[in-house]
Amino acid sequence: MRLLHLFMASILMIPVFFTLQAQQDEHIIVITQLDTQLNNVNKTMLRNLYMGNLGLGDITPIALAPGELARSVFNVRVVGLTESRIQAYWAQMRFSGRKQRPIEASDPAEAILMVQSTVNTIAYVPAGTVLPKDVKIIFTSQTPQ
Amino acid sequence: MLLNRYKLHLTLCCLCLTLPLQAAESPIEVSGFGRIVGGFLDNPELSYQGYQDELSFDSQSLAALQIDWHAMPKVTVTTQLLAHSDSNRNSGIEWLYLTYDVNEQWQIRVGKQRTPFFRYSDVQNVGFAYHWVTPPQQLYNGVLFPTYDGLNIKYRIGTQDIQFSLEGYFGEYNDEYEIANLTIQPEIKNFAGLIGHVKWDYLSAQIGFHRGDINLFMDELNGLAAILQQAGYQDTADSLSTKGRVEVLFASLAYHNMDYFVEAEIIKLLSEPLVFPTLSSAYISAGLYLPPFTLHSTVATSHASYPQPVNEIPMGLAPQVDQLAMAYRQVYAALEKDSLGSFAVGVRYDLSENFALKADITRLRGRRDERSFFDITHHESGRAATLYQFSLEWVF
Repeated sequence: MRLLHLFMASILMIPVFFTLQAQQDEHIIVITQLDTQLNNVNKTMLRNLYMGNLGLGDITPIALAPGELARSVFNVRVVGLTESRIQAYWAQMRFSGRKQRPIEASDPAEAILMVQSTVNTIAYVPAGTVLPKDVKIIFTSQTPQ
Repeated sequence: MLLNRYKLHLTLCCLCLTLPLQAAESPIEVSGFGRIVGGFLDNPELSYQGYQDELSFDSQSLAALQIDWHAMPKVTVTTQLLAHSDSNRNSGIEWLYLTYDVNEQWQIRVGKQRTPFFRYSDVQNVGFAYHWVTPPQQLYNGVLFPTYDGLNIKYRIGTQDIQFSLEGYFGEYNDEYEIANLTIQPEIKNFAGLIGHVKWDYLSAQIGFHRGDINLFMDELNGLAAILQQAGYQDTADSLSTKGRVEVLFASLAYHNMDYFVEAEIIKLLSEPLVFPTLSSAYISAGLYLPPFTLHSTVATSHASYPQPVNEIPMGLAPQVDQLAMAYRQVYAALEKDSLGSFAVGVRYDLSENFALKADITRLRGRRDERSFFDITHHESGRAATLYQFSLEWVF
C-alpha cells in the first residue's frame, strides 16, 4: 500500500512545468531589434500574435520552451490561458493544417540572440534581463494595460 | 492486444525513416499523435461504440503520423497516416492535400481532407486537442462523411480586437461508408460547405452550412421502389428514394479564459434519401482549469426521426399486393433512430506538454423503442447505461 501511495505521489509530481505558476512578483518584457519599426505593443496585440491571429503584419513571434518560468508568466499575464489549454489549441491548429505555432527558443539568452539576428522578430524574456544595445523593449507586463 | 501490431509497426517504421530527415532541418516536418483508450459499459445487454461490459482497449486507440513537406516557400504537401486499433475502421491515408498560402489572408488547399463539419471534426482523432475522452456522440458519431476530395479556400481578416474567417469547400466523397447497419459506397457530388468563424477576446462563434447530392446505390431498396412504381404506387416508390440532397446546419459558441470554459454546439441534419434521419443534436460543456487538472461536465442530446410511410397500398386486395405492402413497411421498421440523452463528467490531467491522461464517466439514456447509438443484444433491454473511459493522449 505504501508503494502504491509513493507511486501515485510520483505520478502527480511529474508535470513540474505546469506547476510553475506565475508568481505575483514575476514579470516579463517583450523585446525586438532596434531596426524593427515597432515601438510599443499592447496585451491584445501580443495575444493575437502568439495565438497565430492577424493584426501585427510581418512580425514573427518567438516563444520560450515549456518549463521556462517566463513562459508561464507570459501565458498568465498576457495570453490569459493555461499552458495545457495553449498546448491543446496548438495541437488543434497543427493537425487541422490551419496555423503554425511560434518558433521556440530554449532559454532567454537564445531568444535574445534570435531577435538580434533577425529583423521583425519579437520575444519575451524575464523582466530585469540585461539586454544588448541593439535590442529595445516594446512591452512590459508591469505597466497596466 | 492494444493496437494492431502490423499497423503499429508500419507507423513506427515510417517514423524512424523520416526522423533523420527532420533532424537535418530538411523541408520535411514530421509530427504525430496517438491515444490509448480503455473503457467499459456497465450494462451487459448493450454495446456502445464497441464498449461492452468488459474492459476493452480496441475501440478507439490509434496512432498517426503527419508529414508536412514544404515543397516551395508557400506550398506545403501534407499527408496523415492513421492506424486504428479497431479493424472495422479504415486505416491508411487519412489526408493527402496540397496547401498554397497565398498570403496571410488567403489559403487554398486541394486534395483529400477532413470535412470541417463541427468544431472538433478535423481533429476528432487527436484526443490531446480536446478535454473529453470522446466528444459527444450525438454530434461526433460518424453519420456524416469524415473526409472529402476537393478544394478548400479560407479567407481571414483580423484587427486588434476581432478575428474573422470564412472557409468554403467543394468536392466529392466516394469511399465506403456505414449507415443503418449497412456498408455502402455512396457517390456524393456537389459536396460543399461554408463556415464562418468569429473570435473576440476569449469568445468564439462558428456557423456552418454543408450540403451534398447523394446517391446511395442501395440495390434492394431501388428494386422494391421499381416494383412499387410498376404497380402504380408512385408516391410510395418515391418515398424510398436513395438519391437526393443532404443538408447540415451547424452553430457553435465557446468561451475559454484562464479559469474556466463553456462550449456549446448545435446541428440540424435534413435529408431527402430515406435512410438518412432528420437529426437535431446539441451539447453544452463547461469546465474549470485547475492546472494541471481540467474538470468538466457535458450535457448532450439528439433527436432522430424519419418521415411517416406513405399509406397508399390497400390491404386485402390480392396476396401479392399485401406482400408488397409488408415489404414496404418492413423497410420503415428497419430504420434505426438514434435519439439519446447523456450527462458526462470528466477530468484531464496534463502530464507534460505532450502527454495527457483523461477519465470520463458518461450516463447514457436512450429511448426504449429506438437504437439510441447502442448495439443491442437483447431487444427488450432498456436503453440506459454508464460508460467508463480513460485514455492516455500524446502528440509529438
